[in-house]
Amino acid sequence: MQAIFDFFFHNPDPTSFFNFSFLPKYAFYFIQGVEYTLMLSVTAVLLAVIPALVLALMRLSKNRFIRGLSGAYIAVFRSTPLLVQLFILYYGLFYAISVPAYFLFGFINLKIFVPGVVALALNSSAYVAEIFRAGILAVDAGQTEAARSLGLTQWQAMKLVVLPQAIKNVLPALANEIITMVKESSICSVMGMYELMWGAKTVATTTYVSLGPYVIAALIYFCINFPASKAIEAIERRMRRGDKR
Amino acid sequence: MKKFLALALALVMALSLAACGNNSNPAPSSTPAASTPAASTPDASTPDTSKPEGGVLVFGTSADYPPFEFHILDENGKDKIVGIDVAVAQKVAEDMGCELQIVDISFENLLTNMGRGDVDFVMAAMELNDERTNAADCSDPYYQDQAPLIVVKKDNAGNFTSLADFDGKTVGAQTATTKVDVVNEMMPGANLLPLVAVPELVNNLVYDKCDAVVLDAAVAQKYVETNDQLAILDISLGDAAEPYRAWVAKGDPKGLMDSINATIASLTDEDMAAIVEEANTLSSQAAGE
Repeated sequence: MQAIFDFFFHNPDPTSFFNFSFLPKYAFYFIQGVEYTLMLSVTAVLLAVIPALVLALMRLSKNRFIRGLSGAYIAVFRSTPLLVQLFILYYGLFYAISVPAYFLFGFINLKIFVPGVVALALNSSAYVAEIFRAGILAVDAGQTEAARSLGLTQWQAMKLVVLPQAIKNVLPALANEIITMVKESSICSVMGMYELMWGAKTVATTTYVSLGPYVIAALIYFCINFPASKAIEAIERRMRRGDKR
Repeated sequence: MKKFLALALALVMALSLAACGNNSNPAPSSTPAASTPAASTPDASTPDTSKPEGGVLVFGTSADYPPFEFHILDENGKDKIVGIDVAVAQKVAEDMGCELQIVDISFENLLTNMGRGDVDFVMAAMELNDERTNAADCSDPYYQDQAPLIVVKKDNAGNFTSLADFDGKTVGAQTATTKVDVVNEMMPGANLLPLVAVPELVNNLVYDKCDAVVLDAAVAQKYVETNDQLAILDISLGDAAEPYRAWVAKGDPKGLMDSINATIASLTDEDMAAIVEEANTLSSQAAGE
């Protein structure tokens, strides 16, 4: 028992994968990192939902121009790397729009956090738009026809008949998007956002233990995402219970 | 349908609440904690220059480079940035009668952020070179390190006796630093492996992705001290490194250069020795020695 403990916590090799000697003293950076990561990813996905719905509806519009506009947005954000988008937004757009250096909860600097959230949200909205579009198209065309023949307008049919059914199709994929975001948000560490990867890097530089912190970060990401994906599966099962086949 | 919606909303709520709920944990101020209040009585002997707005001097550094700048947890468990450069920057702020606010940015983005006006001045073990003088203005030197050192795995140390031995080998150096120039100029036969952070260079060396890494002397010594698989080669890369300087935005729009130079001039060798000593002690403590 003691030998196992010593292997992890009194490992003399600073480049060992299993040297966790820093953990008792530096847990702070990992706790703060988890908080920052969750704030970043959950805020980004929630911010992305409304623009994504608008984009999806635009994409299904009969007007070629509106359809093209939405298509172009989705194409640009899905075909360029998130890291590049982050750099352009951080140094470009958010140079023009200056966010004050206000500290949320004492450790989230809005000046840095807001460009990160916006970059993630813009990127995410392109993917979520495609999720919504698929969800809407999955609703049988007969539903719209029936609604229209009952005298509902095009918009009423969409709002009252199609979208409520589409939401059910879409929710699991949307929850998966949050999981993806939790992982993708690690990219924000290059901008000095105090999220989990940044915390691991900081501990690695300060303690000279240069791999153990990343192993801990990986374990934490897994412990967030695996239970979350299991929970989503459970919800999916629960939702299918109402399906009549 | 309503049930599904309620369930889904509950999930979203739970996730967002989890994000907020955690914030009651011991995670208060980090960067703000690193800044200390301004000296109440500014030194009368320092030249009177214009203070930056609000009496806050924003200092940019790349805090992944012990002993020059690195994060530690202070006795209250709060995150704090310390090191040789931070101590000098603190002195600059005190002499100006300002509060120092420290911003941690990755090294290659420091001057970009300063050009944007996010930070007032930068100190990050940064030497003079042409690319940098195009982007920013520098102060008088405040610290002179020894020449950079070549670190290799102890087992391979015997294979390298001169710079020519690096022909065809892979040598790592930190991106956007003068160490990259050192590799390119002094080891023309070597392949450069440029990486963003020093710990990654050390990982690459230990896990045989490269044959050697070039590091600043003080940094190399710290890593070799903490890792007994590593050794410093007895091959000279020059007599001395370019000295480190503080940097302000091109043209010094905030008029800080005179104050910075005055503070640097006022630092005696003993002052610097004390600052270096303290930074080394803090770094050793942080590494758990």
